[in-house]
Amino acid sequence: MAITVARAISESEVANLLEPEVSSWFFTTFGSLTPPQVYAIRSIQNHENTLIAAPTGSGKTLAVFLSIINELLSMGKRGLLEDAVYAIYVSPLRSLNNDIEKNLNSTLKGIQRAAKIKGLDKGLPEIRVAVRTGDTPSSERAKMLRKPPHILITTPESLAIILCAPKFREKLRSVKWVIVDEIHELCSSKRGVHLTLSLERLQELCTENFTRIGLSATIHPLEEVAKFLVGFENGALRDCVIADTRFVKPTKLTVDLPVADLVHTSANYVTSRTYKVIKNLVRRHKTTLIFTNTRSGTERVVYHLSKLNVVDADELAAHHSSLSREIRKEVEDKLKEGVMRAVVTSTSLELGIDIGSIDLVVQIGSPKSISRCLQRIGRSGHALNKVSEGVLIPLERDDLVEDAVLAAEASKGRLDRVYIPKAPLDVLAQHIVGMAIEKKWHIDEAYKVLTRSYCYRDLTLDQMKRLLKYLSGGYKSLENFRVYGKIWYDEDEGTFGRRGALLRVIYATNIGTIPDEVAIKVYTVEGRWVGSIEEEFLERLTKGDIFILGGRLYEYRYSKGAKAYVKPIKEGKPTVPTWFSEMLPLSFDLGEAIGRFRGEMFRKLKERVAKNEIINWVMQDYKCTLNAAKAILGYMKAEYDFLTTLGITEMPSNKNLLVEDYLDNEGRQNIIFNATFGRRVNDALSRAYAHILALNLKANIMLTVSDSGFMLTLPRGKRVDPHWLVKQVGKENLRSLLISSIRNTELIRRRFRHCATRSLMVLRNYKGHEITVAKQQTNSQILFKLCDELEGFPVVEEAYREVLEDVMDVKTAEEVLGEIYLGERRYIIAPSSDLPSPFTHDLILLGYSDVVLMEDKKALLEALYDSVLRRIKEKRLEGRARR
Amino acid sequence: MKVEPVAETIKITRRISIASPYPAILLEKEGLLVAADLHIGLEDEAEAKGIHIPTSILPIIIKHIIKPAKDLGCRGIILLGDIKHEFGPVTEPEWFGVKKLITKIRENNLTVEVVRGNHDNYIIKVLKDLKIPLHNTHLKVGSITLTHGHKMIEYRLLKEVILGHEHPAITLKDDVGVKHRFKALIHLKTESSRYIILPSVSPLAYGSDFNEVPADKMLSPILHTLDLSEAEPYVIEAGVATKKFPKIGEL
Repeated sequence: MAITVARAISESEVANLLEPEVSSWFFTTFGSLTPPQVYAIRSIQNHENTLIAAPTGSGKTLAVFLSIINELLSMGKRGLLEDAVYAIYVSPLRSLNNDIEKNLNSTLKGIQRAAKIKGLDKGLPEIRVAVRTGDTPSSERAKMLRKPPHILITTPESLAIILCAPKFREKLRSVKWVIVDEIHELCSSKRGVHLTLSLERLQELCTENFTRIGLSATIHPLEEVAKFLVGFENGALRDCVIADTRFVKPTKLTVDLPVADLVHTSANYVTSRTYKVIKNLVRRHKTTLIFTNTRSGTERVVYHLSKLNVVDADELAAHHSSLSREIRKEVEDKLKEGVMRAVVTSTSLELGIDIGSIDLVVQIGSPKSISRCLQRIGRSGHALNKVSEGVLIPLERDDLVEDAVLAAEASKGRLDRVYIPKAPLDVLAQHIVGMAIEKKWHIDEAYKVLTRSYCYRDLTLDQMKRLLKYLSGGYKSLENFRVYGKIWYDEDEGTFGRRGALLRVIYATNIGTIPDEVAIKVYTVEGRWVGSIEEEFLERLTKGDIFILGGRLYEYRYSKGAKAYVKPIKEGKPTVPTWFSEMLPLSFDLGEAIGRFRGEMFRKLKERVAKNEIINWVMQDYKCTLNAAKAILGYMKAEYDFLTTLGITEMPSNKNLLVEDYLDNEGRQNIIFNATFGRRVNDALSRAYAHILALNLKANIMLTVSDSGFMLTLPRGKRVDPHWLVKQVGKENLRSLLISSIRNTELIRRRFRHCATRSLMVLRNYKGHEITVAKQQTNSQILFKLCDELEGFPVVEEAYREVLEDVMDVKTAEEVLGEIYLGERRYIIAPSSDLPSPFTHDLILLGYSDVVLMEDKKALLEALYDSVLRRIKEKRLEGRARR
Repeated sequence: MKVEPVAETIKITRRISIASPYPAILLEKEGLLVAADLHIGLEDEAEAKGIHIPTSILPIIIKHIIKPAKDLGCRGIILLGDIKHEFGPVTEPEWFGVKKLITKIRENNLTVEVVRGNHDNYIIKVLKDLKIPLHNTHLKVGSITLTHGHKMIEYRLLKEVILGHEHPAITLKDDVGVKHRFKALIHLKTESSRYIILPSVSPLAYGSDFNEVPADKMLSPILHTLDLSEAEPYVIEAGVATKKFPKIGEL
């Protein structure tokens, strides 16, 4: 493998490498090099692919552009600078793009000034910089074609479009550098996967191999990200140098809790104390950034803080993705000016836009991943030598343990592993269409280009052929075969190309990987407009459901097209389950660490280590305040005592998976798996076990899944032996069980719709018309049914892959099952009890996440029939009771 | 293609049965199969709007009409309106589809008659060329009235009536609150009359949710004044299963 560690460069070496005016400008402005600059400049200067990992504000962007600007100036002086694009900078954020443009222009001005002072400004070439995104007006684009920027700033989507722009793409043949910013964010999403294919297509266009430069925040393992950046050439990984300066900024983390006991304290009291703690923190600091995990959480925190009069109203604001771009921009600007005291945000301020000086980051609830936590905390202590200070405030018991273990892992420099999606076929479909627009391809030649991307290294020729068959309309029967194909595909000759003049427009207006979620308008039955709901929410409503909209109660009646009709009501309790949330899943690696911590704690309790000693250990190693340490001990001790009374001697840990057999007060059997694998793994495991139960008991199984375990609830009157159950799922049958168990779920239908849109099967925009999501949705439900019956249909294959691999983590679940088979992990099965252990209380309160229905449609109908009859009976009983 | 089950009858009345599990009914005495709302060409309209339907719908429609007719030994078929989809002139795929359907019906020695629907304006000439009997407002078979349902018909004809037009469906919620939508045949018996509303044969056409949409918001004027809460839905998952559910008012 050709991934190597960067070598440092000295300041004098840098000064020698740079053109005099560049060197003069740099050293008078900055004085010295920052760590990412020390480690990255040499390889970039040598045109070697380079991945730079460093905290925000550490000068890594400049490390890149210093060499590039220097070389462009030098070329210009030698008369080699043409009207062509030499460097492309890609970032996922438009706001970041605008920042970069501003910074580059001021850098260029600075160099010009330095040249003038030195009398070197005569004949100094002009370097042009321009941003090109979906917002760029066509007049600007025309200008760019006449005088192309030397440095082009763009987004992944716009890059893919430019690749098909007949004239402008010619200006890209000269590209020497491509910079991918926020690569840690991109590499774990389909958006990033999409970009890797654009890069390979760009490489195909360019006359020489361009240098790839990736900019990343704290992430692990860097080798994986490097591979994502560089890809393959002739079957071998391209070379890459890694400049790892992730831990140059000192970080101070504290886990604080306003109470010393979370088992016996009421939630209301904990909440009110929590806001007081935050209030004090905000008042003691100049600017505090507060992270919550959800948008609704953000709104709630702002509401409570403003009620407490923590700071002046205009010094406190929310910043999240549902707010308009203008509002977000205003908050960002005020942060930069240093006039904000507190900003509450969900994920939108995680990324690298410059937000000025922040002296404290508060995280409410568990951030669920070590990397994410460090990224968030890293927003404080803006200068490199300043300490990033973060306070973690948990909301419930499992949060508390998560935060403590996270702080301990972070302090040891351990990070959770990044997940890179593998060969999504919907993204590939877009690029195949794009390539067909360019020219006629031979399938082998195209396959070679596409599999150079790290994400598509395992793409099979068969998958590619099925995609071509789909895109050419080949799944239709012979009569209308090929009439509706987007491309033509000659199977015998192995060639494909564009069909119809409309294709270019379809490509340009439908490209991208982020699914639309459009609002459904809500009216009263009399026709008065009352607001909007998300279509995913409408998916859950049936007649009689009660929900809140804009602070008012409504009863849902019916929907027609993209409109929902409701009746306002005075009182009632919302009936739609709230589990459907935007919660982030716990990373598997952090979950494992929590399992290890549990094991260690129980060992100490078993050995009767003194209470004070344990509290000191937690405070020291786990960065907890006294309150937090006490609460952790109390929680762990409660579990320990409970299990001891049940006669259990082997306590739960990452290796010992405790399975509880709990009979609830309705007489139902609940099988609870204590497994801190995180929701992605638990989701997969739980559905497989539930499917086994559904098959064997011929009944629907209710499912509850959290980051630290899952629960299977059997219908009344059905019983099963947990010893038997745990042996039924293994590495070999997990995938097939999962596919059968998700076939009738809302999850697969929704994901299929997204995949159908990304695969250009359902267009968002066609012949200048926006196609509403409601329309896409209605059709997609029927479409899924039809497509699911087709043999090897790639869009369906991708929907299942996305659910199994991206939403869930089937691969790690398989590994876990393999380890159980080998005896490296074991199930500890507790005796049947009518009390669940304290570790499971939060899980039980969560409410059902899903139901695993029997597989085929006939059984589904029977199941629905039974549940309708049951509900009718319950209603009648209720009616009688009322009388 | 998967093997589809042999059609069996499920009695609704003494003389009318569902050709289960297909979205059609059998008039037992006459040996006639009735199917409504074929909407041939709907997939092509979808394509024209940017929605690619990767599979062909026409063979499914034809199969879901011919198979039950053969299985149940019918002598003929009545198509209860909306044979084609576009309101306008006959498009090429529609022309092709309708011809193919009629050929298939005749190959199987079945007679065919058509009751006119609101989408059928331009197809009359085609049908006349193919020498197919066409009924403008309704067709009377014994005491039963067959009408598409987009227009009110004379009151005296509404004793025992079979309708299409509405594409009935019902939505059912599972135990965690996820919605599932199915096509349904609706059977309503009032003091003076009996109504049977057929689901669409097209796998693409789902219409009004009978357990949610109020009667006066239905498409068919014939339904506007009825109390639908007493109606009985038969969920038909075409080619899979039929299941009678409790009355609409209880769902």
